[in-house]
Amino acid sequence: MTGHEFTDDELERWSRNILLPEVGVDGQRKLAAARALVVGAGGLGSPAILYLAAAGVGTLGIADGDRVELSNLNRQVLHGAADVGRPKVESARDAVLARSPACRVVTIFCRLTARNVRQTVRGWDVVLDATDNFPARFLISDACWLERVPLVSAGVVGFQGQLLTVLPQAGSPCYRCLLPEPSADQYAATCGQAGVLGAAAGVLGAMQAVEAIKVLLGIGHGFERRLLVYDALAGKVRIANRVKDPACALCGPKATIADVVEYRLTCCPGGVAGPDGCCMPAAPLKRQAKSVRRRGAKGR
Amino acid sequence: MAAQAARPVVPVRTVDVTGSRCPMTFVRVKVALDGLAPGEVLELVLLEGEQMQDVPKNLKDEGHRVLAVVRKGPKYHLLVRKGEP
Repeated sequence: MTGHEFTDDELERWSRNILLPEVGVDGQRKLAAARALVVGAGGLGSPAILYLAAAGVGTLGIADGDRVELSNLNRQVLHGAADVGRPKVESARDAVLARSPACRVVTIFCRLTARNVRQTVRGWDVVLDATDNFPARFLISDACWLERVPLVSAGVVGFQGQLLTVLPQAGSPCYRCLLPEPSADQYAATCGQAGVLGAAAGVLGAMQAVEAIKVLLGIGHGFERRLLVYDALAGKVRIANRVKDPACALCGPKATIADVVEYRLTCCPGGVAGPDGCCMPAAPLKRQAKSVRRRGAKGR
Repeated sequence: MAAQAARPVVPVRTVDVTGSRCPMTFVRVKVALDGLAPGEVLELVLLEGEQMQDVPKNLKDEGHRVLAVVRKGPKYHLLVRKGEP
């Protein structure tokens, strides 16, 4: 493969990648030419963004409409105390460029909506959904499916996280094959006050970077037909198989979803309004964790 | 086959990595081989010691063939045929 000619510094910087037979010089060139979009510069996006940049991904898109808050700093390791109040995309860009000056960073300082999401994900080689709520997850997964863009999606609640990959061009199961619609408790699954162990989010975010790199290089065994569930508290990792749902409204033979659907985060019945407009679940974490486990088992 | 064996092996290029230290030595070898088509030959210049201990073995592990080794003073000149990917 011809393409990017590495300088001596670049060869040294990426020497540990190049020495991997599965990456090599060709793979490093592919990464240099690759474009990865991370939606969410928070607990998942922080390690994902840092590792993608460190790996030598040439163009990194970072989309987030939020500003850094003090309460983010237990997990969002891209940002520091001095960044509180700044747009996360700016803080993230600075953190990336301080470590990887050659990385082209594209910042998208807005919340993704039904109006802008398809245009935003279009044309990227891979999208990492590192958002913190189910409406965003459905919005991004629908948009990536419709735009035929590979997706690595992850989520973390409390001590528990999950991860899956969707490869539309390879005809893999989509996100809705696993979760057809957001359920009432998923609307409430994200709140400013919802507890998250930062390091658990870090594990999942780093795994998203790993899986995105595998997608970009076309190597290894991915999660396009599997679901990973990590329970940090129990010290357990469970992997369930995923299959295509023949009745899936997005990717099934009788699909009814022809465009993105925007679900709104509104206060759930019995919930209390949170500081950023989302709602606090009335019966939060145990119920959500059970729900994740139940739905994970469904995919087996 | 005898005619083929007698055919002179002409390296496409010569790369001297004697100024590099492990593992950059092998990174530079990989970059040098990357520019060649399978079957083409690279002349590689290595130092006695660590480089000569490690690099020929790594080349073999990655599917390349060392055709010849010639010592010239403190340096070794290797002819390496690039393997199939």
